[in-house]
Amino acid sequence: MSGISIIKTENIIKKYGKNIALDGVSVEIESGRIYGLLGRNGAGKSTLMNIITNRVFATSGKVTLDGEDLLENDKALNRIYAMSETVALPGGLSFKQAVNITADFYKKFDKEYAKSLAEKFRLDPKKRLSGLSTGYTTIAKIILTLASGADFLIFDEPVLGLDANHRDLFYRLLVERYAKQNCGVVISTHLIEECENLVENVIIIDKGKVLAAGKTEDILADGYSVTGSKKLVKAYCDGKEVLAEKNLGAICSAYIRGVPYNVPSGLEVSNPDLQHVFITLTGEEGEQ
Amino acid sequence: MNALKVYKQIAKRWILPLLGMYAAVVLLMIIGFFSFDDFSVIFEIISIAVAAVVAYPVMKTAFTTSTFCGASRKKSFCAVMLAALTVVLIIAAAHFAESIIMYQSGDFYSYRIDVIGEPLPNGKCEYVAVDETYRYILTDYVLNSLSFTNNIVFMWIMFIVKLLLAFFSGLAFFTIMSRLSGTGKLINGGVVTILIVLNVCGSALFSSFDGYAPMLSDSFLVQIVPHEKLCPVYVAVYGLLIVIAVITAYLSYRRKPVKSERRV
Repeated sequence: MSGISIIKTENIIKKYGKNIALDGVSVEIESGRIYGLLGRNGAGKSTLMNIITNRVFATSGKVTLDGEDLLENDKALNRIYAMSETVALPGGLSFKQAVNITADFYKKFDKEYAKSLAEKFRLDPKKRLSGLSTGYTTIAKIILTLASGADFLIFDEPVLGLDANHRDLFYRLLVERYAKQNCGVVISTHLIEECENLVENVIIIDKGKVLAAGKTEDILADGYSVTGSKKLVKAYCDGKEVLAEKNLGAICSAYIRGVPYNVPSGLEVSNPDLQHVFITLTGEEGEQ
Repeated sequence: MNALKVYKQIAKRWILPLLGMYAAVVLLMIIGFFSFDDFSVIFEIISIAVAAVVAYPVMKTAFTTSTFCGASRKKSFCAVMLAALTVVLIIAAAHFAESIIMYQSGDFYSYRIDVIGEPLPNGKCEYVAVDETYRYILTDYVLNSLSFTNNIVFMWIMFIVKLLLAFFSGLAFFTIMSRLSGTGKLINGGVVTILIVLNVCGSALFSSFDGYAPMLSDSFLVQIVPHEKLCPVYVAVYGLLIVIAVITAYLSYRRKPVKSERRV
């Protein structure tokens, strides 16, 4: 792939009746980067991915790839491969047949690579997809995605049902493929800790809105945690932008936007990890 | 190109088996397995039903293949249209074969008596029997006859059109049914009812059983449309019904949601 390609969503709104699944979502996904699309259950991650790939259509807003509208655009759609947890290939197919069908549509599909991946994951290519376990169904989808040769690879819950060994293998293969192809990768997962070191950029969605989007390091550097006695924490937080607060008996922990300054003794300052930031940003009252 | 790729999947999975099934039926006709008198009556009804029902797997294959493999709804719907044509031509070809086999079986005779030349001096005429068997088979067994025309080409065209209407009505029906969970049941139910009524009307328009349903029979059209304009009006009525069915099917297909199945 020459140059940088960009998928842009502009003010995407998706309504299901009275339900608003996405509410003005604008994000950019560049090739040559790995994105983590994070959100709680029902936050709108899958809807966003489905809209990008035309599996569902937005109520309003626009999705473009290098400035070209993606809506009903076969040429542009063929540059994206989305591994979705919701879409079914025609039933009764074997993995080998699924490979052949996908290769028919994706010009750069690498059948040999798919074959080698099937061997690595010990997936029998002759087995019917409908007869695979949850883990192997995920593996079949992972292989099709990795071998697709598309410029953008989208993974929706790529480790669903995978054991630790297969998860590790998946992450290694993904990095290998990414390094070789320089493609854009989007991973939507709930296992944030596992992919924290993998994702360079993060998009956090909650209740259909983008809460945070940017480089992982910038998002992590955007805030800090202070922990200590309730009284001290309360006093320190006064006048600061507190994003979340958590009480544990007499101990209190607060997540504050900005950089720490004038921290009194007795308070412990720490830099939160991605999971912590995610929980803090998306947590609701009563959960923290 | 994507339309052809989707079509290839439909053809592999459904059109080739359908072709095989009709080839087997024709073969059974050739070896005399069927009594034409009994079979021909239901063969047409079965074929109309097949045209309507096959729309479901065709639509499903096109939809899943296209959403999984990055083909647009527009292109995959083109594949469905192409599949409709193929299905209809296969069925029409089977009926054409049926007519030939029936004709060659020699079980049916129909003659028209024509006068040859001028009357003889004694006032009598010479007659010749013209073999009308094939026309008789077509109009009485293979195709539904129309009361206002004997034109076989027109009847064949209308037979194909009728099959197309059945396919697209089926397609519209199934795509709407697959959306019922996502949209207003009342609205969809209403559209489904309208489509069924349209299709029943459309099919019945072919019928000359005006004793059963005078408003729906072709004699209804015969009464209100001048004779010389009946053929084009007939085509226009059917054309309109097909257009309604295709538009309804496309709109539903385009908005068809991806079901939340945790499968590949």
